[in-house]
Amino acid sequence: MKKLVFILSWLVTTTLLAQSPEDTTLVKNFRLDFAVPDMPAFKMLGTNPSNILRPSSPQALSLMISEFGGGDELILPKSFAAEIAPYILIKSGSLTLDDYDKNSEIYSLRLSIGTERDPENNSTSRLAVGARMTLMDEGDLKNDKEYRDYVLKFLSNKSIIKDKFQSEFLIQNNLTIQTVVQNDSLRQEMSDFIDDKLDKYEQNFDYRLDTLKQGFKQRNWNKKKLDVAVGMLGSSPDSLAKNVEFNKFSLWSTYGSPVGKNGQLLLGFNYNYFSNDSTEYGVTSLTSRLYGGSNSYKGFGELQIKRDENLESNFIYMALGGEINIKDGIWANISAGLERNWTDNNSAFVSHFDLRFTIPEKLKLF
Amino acid sequence: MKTIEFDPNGPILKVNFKFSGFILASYTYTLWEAESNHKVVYEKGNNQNPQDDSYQLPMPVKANDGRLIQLRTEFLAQDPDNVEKYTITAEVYQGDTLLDKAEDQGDNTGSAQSSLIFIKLKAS
Repeated sequence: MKKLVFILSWLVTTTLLAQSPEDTTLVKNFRLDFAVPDMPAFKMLGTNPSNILRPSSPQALSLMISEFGGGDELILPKSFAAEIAPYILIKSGSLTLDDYDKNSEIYSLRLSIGTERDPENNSTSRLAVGARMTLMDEGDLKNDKEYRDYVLKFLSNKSIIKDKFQSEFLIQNNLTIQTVVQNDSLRQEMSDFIDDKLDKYEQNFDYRLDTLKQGFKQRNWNKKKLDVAVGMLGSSPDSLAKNVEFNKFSLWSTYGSPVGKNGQLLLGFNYNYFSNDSTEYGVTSLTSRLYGGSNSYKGFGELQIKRDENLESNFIYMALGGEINIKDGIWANISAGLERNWTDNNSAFVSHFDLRFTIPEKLKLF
Repeated sequence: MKTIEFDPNGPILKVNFKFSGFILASYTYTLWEAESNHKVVYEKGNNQNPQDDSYQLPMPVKANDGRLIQLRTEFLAQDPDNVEKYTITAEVYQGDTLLDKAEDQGDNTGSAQSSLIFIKLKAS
């Protein structure tokens, strides 16, 4: 069975990687590390057997829900988590370039909180909190000094050229700048003159800048990335979460690296420390996940090795999955696989489905 | 266009440019002579280093009466999905006192954007 899963995994991922390698649109849109958020607090709830925490770019606000169904009834989600990027929310429009350069790690800080409802008595039974940061992100244009220098030079040239056309307008019309700025119609006429000249001179300046940006994105998208995260999980006997006792602490580290032009390999480490009245133990996981596809539709194959000190057992987990961008800001994540206890020689099929929400690109909040 | 009054017998005038909303910005600053197309000052800069976005106006102070400050900015938002507004500000100081400022605010689009601010200086 494991051979079959491995072969299927290999076939799917290689097929996806083989799709249109020269398709620049695919490459342009293939922003795996920018797509779906993965929250430490959600991972702490243990709704997914995979222990990898995929790298992602900070979003001001994002939500995740999971495990809706129960038999024939449509019920409220069992698990819910929300993540915020506090620095982005606090600074928002007042953020300067200098602020970002001095605090880029804090910019990437995301705090998450998750709860899991007890389906028996409909009360909150578990509460998780988490934090994550991006320590390295070579693919992010915001951190690319060369890109920044190109853009600033480009914008500077545009500003200087506009000034030249402005002077030309003033001379041609025998006007002073003071006369123009005090007359709205003259000012509009001057602006139209400059824009018209600029289009002829630069042959669509904005298009050239977008091309420059896309060129850097294509070159950068699959550069190295390193995320770290921590979290803790508490249990509460009541829905008000008054007496929460934290009994699980987790640490994640995930490294992303390119595989050719169309793929991304994630290597993840996860350590969980469990503590309660009767016992203390650790669970360690090493996970690899290979992605292929486009930003909106992508598949992955995953292999995970886990050591559970409490059970004194080793586990192996193999899965295939996919992510679909249903609508702007809404993502579905589905996976299915086999988890095998290597020590006791027993296996179980595992499946997972969740929905993820971020602020839609078209929605303006601030 | 904003008009800012200053004391012709007061300390030196200074103009500061600020760019917020997480943008990459390059600008040209022009100080126009009163009722003339003569450029008294013409400077180029960008927002990489905020310390060098401050300029002293020429002396004597009263010579700036009627002059026009022009700030032309070309910019590109760095994270328009998360930081959705920009503000470009030109502040005029006399000595250490902020006399007044002119602002341009708007939505970040993610494409190249432009801003143009004018301030007329008037001796009180």
